[in-house]
Amino acid sequence: MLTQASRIHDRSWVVQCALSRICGGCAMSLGRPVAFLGTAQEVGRNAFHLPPLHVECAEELARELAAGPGAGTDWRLVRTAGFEFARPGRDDADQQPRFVPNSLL
Amino acid sequence: MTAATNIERPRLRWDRLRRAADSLTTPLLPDDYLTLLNPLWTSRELRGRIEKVVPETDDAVTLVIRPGWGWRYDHRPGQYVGIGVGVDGRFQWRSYSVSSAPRRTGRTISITVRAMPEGFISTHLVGGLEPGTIVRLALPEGDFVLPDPPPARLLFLVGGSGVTPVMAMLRTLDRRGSMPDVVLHYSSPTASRMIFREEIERLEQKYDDLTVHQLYTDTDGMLELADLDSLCSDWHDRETYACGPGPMLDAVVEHFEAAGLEKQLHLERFSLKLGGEGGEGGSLTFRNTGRTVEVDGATTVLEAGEQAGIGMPYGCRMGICHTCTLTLVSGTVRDLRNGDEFDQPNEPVQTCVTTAVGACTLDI
Amino acid sequence: MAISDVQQYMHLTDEEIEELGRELDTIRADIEESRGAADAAYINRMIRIQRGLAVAGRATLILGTASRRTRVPAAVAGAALLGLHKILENMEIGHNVMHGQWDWMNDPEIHSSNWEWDTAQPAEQWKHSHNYIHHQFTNVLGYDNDIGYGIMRLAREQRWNPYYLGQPVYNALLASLFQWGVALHDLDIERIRKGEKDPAEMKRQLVQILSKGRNQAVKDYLVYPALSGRQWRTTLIANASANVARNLWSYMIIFCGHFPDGALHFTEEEIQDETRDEWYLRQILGAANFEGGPLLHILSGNLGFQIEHHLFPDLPSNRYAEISVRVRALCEKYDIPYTTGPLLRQYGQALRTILKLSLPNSATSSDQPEPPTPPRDRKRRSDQERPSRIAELGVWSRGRSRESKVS
Repeated sequence: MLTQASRIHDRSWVVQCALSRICGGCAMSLGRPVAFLGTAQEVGRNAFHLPPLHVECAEELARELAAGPGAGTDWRLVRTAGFEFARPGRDDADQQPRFVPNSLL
Repeated sequence: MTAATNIERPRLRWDRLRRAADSLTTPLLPDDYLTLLNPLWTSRELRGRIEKVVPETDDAVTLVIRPGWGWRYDHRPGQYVGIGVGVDGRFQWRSYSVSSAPRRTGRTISITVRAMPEGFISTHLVGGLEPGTIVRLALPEGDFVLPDPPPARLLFLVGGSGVTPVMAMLRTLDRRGSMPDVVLHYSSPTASRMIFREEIERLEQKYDDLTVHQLYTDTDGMLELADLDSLCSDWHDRETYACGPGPMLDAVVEHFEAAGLEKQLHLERFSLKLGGEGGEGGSLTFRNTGRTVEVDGATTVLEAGEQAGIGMPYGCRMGICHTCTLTLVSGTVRDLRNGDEFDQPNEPVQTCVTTAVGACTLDI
Repeated sequence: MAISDVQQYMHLTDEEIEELGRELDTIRADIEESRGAADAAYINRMIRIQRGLAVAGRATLILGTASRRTRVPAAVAGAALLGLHKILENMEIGHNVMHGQWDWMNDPEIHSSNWEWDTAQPAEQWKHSHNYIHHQFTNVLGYDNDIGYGIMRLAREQRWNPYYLGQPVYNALLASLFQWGVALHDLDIERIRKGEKDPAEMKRQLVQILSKGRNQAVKDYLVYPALSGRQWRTTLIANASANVARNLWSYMIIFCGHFPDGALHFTEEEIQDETRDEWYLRQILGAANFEGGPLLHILSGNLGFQIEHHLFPDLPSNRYAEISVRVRALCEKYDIPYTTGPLLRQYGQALRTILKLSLPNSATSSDQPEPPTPPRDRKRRSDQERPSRIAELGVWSRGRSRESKVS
């Protein structure tokens, strides 16, 4: 259940999900595999901005985004066993924290 | 007392025993300790032990696997199983068709694997597994199965290691001792690379109803489907099972569609189907060596680089693992899977699933 | 002194702090690159040893106590084996698996999402209170509940009141009942007392804690004693001793991580809009290592490399030793204090702080080292140049500090 969908772009929520290892969509402990939702470019860079998700939550979120705020973006779902959490450096062009899947499935 | 309660009784008792044991091992399960004695004594994850590694050809082996607790031996002939092996500390999963016939009383299953030149995992499975290795398993899956009872007339179109699910079907028919009218067309580069050649020849001698055509493509060329009329004149009337490399299957599909017979065609694909449009092609420049090659719109950046003699990194060659990712300095590439274009300067791109759209420069 | 601007405290320039961040990133990338079969073999070996110890301990207690002649030595040996099993499981295995250090192996049986450890705290709550709250807000007053666990005063910025006179007693209780203290950690007693906690969430957490705690207690204090028959009392005492030994050990290791002299506290303005490089720096300044041999480091879950653990909480723990060599060299290069010392000295300093701070600030002196002096070519900023501070410094709760910002 996507109880937290409104917070997926909220930076402090993203950090909390990363460290507590909870799903950004429903706030419950992450499962295995971990799912990340991203644009084609994020998939290409293997670096994601949305918090880690359950696979089901990611699918639901993709549907919601496609129907609403993220319409027009081609949302992709990748699965991984684990991820690294990368904080942005001061001179990074991208000032959002990122997730780097380290064991893609 | 009904038969049903008779069956459930021991199970209930077993469950209660397990629950009692749980309170001894909480927060772990008894299985977590039993694996100290025998790695197969756990139903937490399906496991198997490699019992035997049987060489089939120079580059293919059959792995005989003894599954652990929780395995059901009721796979249907033609299905595949997932196998997870530890490579460099990571569990990597691949699916392979089971080549052994299902036996409810059996204690092992077999999969047959050919080392693909670019297949990192298949090479490990063929060359790197010792008997005794513990692997992870996933239950059998797939719809490429022999129906029960089998159709009266069958045609198998097989290329290379695509023989494995078909072999499970033939072995099942053999075990039942009732071979329907079967024609097997089996293509392989040479006789020595033909997996299960001797066993298939034995079966052919044993059953009058089994007809086998062997085709060595290195000397005799690929199967021309137009020749099917002469090879197997009644192919229109046969349920057809085809398994082999992508281009071969594409040709088979086209041929059956042209004849309006796609309903009686069953397929098993091993490799990724690239759905998107290719690029227009163009000149690819590799910055460090300064080499430039002209490529067409169907050749991936990775293939082009390899042909030009560049030491291109690669992994799965299917767009999954990102090992092949390189920086696109300038130009545009198109993702074969979906037609997405990448054109940002210094953008990382997956070379195994992209093609050039005009002139491109890569940082390698 | 709590620090409100790490970079300024250290007199590092923007360029220096960015360079430090880049060098730490390189260390991380190198380790990620070289993770492999040897690391996987390490954690699997640890797990096998730990489970072997558990079986050996339980079996020794059940079988060895049957005869009068072997009763006492079996009880001692059994308790020691069990204690070691619990320490190894909690410190080197459970804590580190739950950080996601081993997720890269893609092994469903060793994964942060489903690991449950052998202590009273439910894993899900630990991942919140420790992985998130403690690691993100390390040593930030008012955020990090690990500072005194909500019952003790461990920073001079926390306002004194007579309740803290009992601090030596609370400390002894916390140490011996540590697993239960940790179990209540994520409930955040402070917020419950203030009536800020969502009752539904509190109920969910309590049910989780009670169910996990019950399973743990039933196992150690009912089932195994019952299996020992007439010697149930011996097994019960041995199990309790193993639990207490684990409690004391993990309490000591954890208090050595952030409370020896030299591990600094921060105020909340520090963490707003913090960049990665500043985050790195805060982790170095807020943690303290201790020295010891390989066995000591394994038994402490490699938390003797607390600084490295805080810099890279999700890199495999068996690599912290080699990381520490590089981090230490970096600290020397940038003249950043790297707090370390023998285990007992580090704990002694933490204990001294606990005792001193049970009294008002005016009664004792601070043991914190002086801040590094600025090199001659760099000047300290004047007060006008500093960002203005929130009036009420050192407020000890999230709720209060939020109020002060609103008003």
